[in-house]
Amino acid sequence: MSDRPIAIRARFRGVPLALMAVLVGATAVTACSGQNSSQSSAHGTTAARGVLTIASGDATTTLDPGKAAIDASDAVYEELAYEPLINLTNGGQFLPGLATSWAYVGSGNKEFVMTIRSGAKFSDGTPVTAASVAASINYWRNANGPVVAYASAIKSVRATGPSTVEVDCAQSDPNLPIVFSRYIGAGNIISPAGLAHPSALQNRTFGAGPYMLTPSQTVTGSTYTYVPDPYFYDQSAIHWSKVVVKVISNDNAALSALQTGEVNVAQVGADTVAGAGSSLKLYTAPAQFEGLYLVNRDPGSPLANLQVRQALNYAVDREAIAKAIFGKFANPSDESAVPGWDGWDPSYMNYYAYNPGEAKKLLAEAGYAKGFTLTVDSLNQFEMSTVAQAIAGYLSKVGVTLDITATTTVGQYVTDALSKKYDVISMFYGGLPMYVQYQTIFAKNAGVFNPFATQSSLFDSLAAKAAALPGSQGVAGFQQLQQAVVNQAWNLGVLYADETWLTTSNISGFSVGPGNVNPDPGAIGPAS
Amino acid sequence: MLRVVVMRLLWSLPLLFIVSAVTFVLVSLTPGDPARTILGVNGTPQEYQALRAELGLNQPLWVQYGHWLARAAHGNLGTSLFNGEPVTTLLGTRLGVSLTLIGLSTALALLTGLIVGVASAVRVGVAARIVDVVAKLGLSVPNFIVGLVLVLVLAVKIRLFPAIGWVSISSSPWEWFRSLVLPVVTLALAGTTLIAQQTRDAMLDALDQPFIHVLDANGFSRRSIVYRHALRSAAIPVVSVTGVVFVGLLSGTVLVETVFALPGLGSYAVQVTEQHDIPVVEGIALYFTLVVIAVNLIVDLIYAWLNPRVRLS
Repeated sequence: MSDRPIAIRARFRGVPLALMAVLVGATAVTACSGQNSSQSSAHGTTAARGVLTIASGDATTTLDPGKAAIDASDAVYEELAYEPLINLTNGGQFLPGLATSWAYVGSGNKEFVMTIRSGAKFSDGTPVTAASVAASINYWRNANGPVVAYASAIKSVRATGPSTVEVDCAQSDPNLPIVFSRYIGAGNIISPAGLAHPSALQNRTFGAGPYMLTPSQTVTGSTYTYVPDPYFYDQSAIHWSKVVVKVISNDNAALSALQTGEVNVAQVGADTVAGAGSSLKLYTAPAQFEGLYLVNRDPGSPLANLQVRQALNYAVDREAIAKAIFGKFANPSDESAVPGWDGWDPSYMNYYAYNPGEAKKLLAEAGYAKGFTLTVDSLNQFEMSTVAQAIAGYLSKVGVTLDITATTTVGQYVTDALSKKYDVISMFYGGLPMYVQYQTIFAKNAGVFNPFATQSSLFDSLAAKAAALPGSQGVAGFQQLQQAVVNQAWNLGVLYADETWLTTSNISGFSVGPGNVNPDPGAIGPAS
Repeated sequence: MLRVVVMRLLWSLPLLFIVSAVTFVLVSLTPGDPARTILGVNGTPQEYQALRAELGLNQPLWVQYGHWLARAAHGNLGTSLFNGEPVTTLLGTRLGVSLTLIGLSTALALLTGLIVGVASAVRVGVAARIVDVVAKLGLSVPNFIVGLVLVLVLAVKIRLFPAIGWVSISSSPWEWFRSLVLPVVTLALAGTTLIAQQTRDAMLDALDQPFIHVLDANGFSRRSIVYRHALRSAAIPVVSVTGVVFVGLLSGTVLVETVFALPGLGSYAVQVTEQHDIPVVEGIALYFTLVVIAVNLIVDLIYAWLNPRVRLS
């Protein structure tokens, strides 16, 4: 830099400083005066009677119940506006919704009859009838949605009277109550007006639930505002003048919003919970099991051998992995089931107690003393690839190498899984009935989680038998299926992890627990 | 000058075409598709194919692009693949939010950058060094970390501002302002640094010019020399870098919109690209391109106003 004439520059010293002082002062004045209005403004304490704000990590792709996903962050959009046939309470019980009673008829869980509530109306004032219920369920079955396979046993749904609906299944399906609850969503009944224009279902609601979407106060992908439905059959169950679902994809932002009261409910990761402080309430529920699907059981692959699969199960210290990755929010388990769901058997949690010596012995007996390499398709979400890497550490000690490809999108993860280029797929599976697990993991045509279409006639017969049994006999039957899965070391289950929710302390009625992983937004009310 | 404007506008047409075509190809190369977005990990291969057929995804890529282009040429940007809303409606509010955010941040960065830049140009010694260091810090700290810290201190610990959200100016101008303070300050930080550095260098050059000495010798006030004559002379590179800052903020808003849960175009672009909502992605690419073209045009016009020689060339 050249020499500056110092005299001239020095004379200008005072000028810009004065301007800076004014600017800073102006900002301070305007910022301070904001404090007084924070209590009564829209950004103030929204938990004051009137408005409930729920944070969702996902912007829903569509409001159409026929295409909605079922995890809590997606389901909340439909649950507020669509009343299901059968209510699933936060405690996991079934109570009347739009159906006042229901039962399997005969034996074998193939025929299911529901009685429809009289006097219920849709948000446009038209009555809920058996005919409109049947039409709505049939729409759902043909909508190509993500969980339509869970009701694949259904072969016909029809109104058999002004208020009775009969469901006939091609094979036994014991899960129809949950299929017609708010959890799976086939029972989220859509009005005839909505069915007449399915494209309108994508961005407006046509339900018979406690609230309805108001599009004028909704910004797609960001804020969804619901107002009370004047035709809902139980007006005393409506606790808010407005329910707002706010899309907040960042956990830190959700936590800040909870702490300022701008949001009342949010599901956050276990690591965010640590920063929550005592003013917020924490709720947890066992929600998903994680580990590895040992999918390449084709002849010639090491995983085709039972001893090899058992060896892998013995080689892993589940307790250490659960604690290291999830702290107190996970438990070690080798089951493909979660407490609160049928199929869960507490005595099988630690079937393969950590024993690397036994693992090496079994591998040697199977002819793999020198070890081998397995390719793994994993995903960088929900700690799936972290769990895979932790497992890899243990397996390497018994001579088995995991070559892990961690993808970043669900699309890539699924494409890779279906390509059959990977021996192993990272396992992450939510709380669901054992028969649904059978359909989506263990059956020959299960899809993504059984890409090599391995078939076990043992699992097929146990599942078919349990599906035809009523009530508690069915539960015992599905526990037998779980025991067989564990005996066969079909997969490498490592832990089940909790979902964690935080709420402000000025609301009540929120809960999650074993058997219910999606909190019912309609049950939330102001704290008394 | 008119010729320059017209030429710019004519060149924008092939630019829009190229951007939309490249965007189409890039999205198609990303793993997944709209059917997979809906199904997630569920769905048998048969169900997946049925959904693909329903969404019209089985047509060749160039056919899908052709349909989109034909409609876009008539001003119809189509509807979202998932929620059926017109792309223009979906993007309308968000464009307003983003432009407000970027516009106010650029204005704040310009104002603060000018003040800091001029101050450090006319000061010597320790003060100038301090300004230098603070300016470099502003560039190196990621803006979302600044945002998170600001939220923690000024929204959660001291309830001065809201932690998240956007309030439209029509429903409450005061809340609109309050909801914007933290995001705008966060975004303005890196831009302030760039503008301050550019201003300082340009001012130093300008103050060194012989005509400044002449004005001083003739008794012009220091305020007049600095702000009217030297600054105007230094303005052109500052205007340039301001334009660059504005355009840079188009993508720079993504993280800030996420931290503050603002319904802007940046975070929405990430969302719809992950979902493969192609008509909306194309719409956003077009809007961004048009904004860049407009900004460059405005910068050129300001040049012409500041420097009469440009007008005549």
